[in-house]
Amino acid sequence: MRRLREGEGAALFSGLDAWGNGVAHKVIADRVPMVDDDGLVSLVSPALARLAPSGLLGATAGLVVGSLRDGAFVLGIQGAVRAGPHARSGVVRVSDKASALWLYGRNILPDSVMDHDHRLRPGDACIVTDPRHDVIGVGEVVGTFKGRREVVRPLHDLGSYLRDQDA
Amino acid sequence: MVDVATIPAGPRIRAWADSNHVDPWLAARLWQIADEPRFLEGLLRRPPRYLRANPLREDPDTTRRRLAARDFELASTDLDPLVWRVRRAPHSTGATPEHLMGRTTPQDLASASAPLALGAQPGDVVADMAAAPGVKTVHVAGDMADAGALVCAEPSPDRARALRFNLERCGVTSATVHDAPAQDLPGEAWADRVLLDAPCTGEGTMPRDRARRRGSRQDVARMAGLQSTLMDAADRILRPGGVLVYATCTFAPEENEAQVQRMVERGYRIEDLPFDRCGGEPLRPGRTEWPGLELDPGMGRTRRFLPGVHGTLGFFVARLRKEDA
Repeated sequence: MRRLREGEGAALFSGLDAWGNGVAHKVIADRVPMVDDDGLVSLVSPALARLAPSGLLGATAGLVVGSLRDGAFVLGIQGAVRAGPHARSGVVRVSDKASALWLYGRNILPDSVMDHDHRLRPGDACIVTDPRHDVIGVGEVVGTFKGRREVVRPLHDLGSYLRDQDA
Repeated sequence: MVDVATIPAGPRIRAWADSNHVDPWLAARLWQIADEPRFLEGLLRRPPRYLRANPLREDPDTTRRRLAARDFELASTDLDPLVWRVRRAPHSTGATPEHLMGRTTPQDLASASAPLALGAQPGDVVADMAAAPGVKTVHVAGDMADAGALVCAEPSPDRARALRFNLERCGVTSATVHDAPAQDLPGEAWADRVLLDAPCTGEGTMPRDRARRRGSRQDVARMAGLQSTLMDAADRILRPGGVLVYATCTFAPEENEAQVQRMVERGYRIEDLPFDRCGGEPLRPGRTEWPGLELDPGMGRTRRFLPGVHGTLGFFVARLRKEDA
């Protein structure tokens, strides 16, 4: 793992600030962003980052918050958890019933949406929260919020910590 | 190679072993550890369930209120204010949104004693030498307010995966995981504190695992050999004046007090633990006598948790201080 280069850092900041002005500073705070060979971006405590020259960083370090793909930052599940409380755009809040189904990897139907960013369009990524604004995943908008068919499909949901732990 | 004691098994022990399907060789040793009816009964009964709140995610009082709203009935414990006994659960605690959000983790109460003994502080560099599945690692990260450096080792790919899942789920930014045995961690004298919750024969998990009712001298000797190797590595990476916490979930003195004794003979000091009771009962001091072992009187500062007495699985914990340079 290594620290981000200048262009990568810019991509991280603009990728996070796309969810709202100042989100990048809130998410990163005093953590050190680092990246691995697969493009996974982690936030690492300063004390841990200082160990890098000593060879004490293992195969993984810190908290993965997303990835760099084709020069852009793509939000991961823990990035969404850190960004969600500060996000001003791209958030979809769903009912308790829909939250429970979401954690099984199920899609969201329009009548389960309590409120959402009206600028979201099919193809957009969104942060999904439960009624109490707790982040439960990252989704992709696949339909219209006014219809009857699925409107958001999961990209990353917290239920994967149960489903995938023995995979 | 440590000499593993055989304790004579009289008719009372044999009868107990026979009726409870416990290996007589193991039964005699358990009776020598503590000839207390509550302990012997506790070995055969599932212990209470506990879970620990994660302050890195949320204020624990808020978490407790959320779980109460889901009809979980939780009781405080006297060992760790963030570990709660689960008195009633409408479903598995591992299936709650709180668990998925990293706000709680199931954890036996006794195992919380190891991080408590370690006393990690923000800014510390800590080695967690047998870290998986990461429950204690998350505890240590929380004690450091996620503002230190945790270097974890786990050689098993499946267990390393579970460790990474738990660290991620709980939002820890201060840990790194080496896919290697702890004895392969590089360098010398870089850790302020070392936590070694060592692989062991697991006798203390007998209340929830009937397979632990079988035991052998060979198993104890083999695990004691591995533990010695890990302790040697702990000694190498711990800085002078640093703290080493050694813990296991087994009762065997060859795997517990004998390992601590090796470090005492290298100049380590056994320190008092910051707790002395659990489940309303005093913890049992470590053995200062055991057949085949020469043990320092300071071993009385180590502690044992007993099923049926302390409301936990069996556990051993010791806090050691390395000599200053």
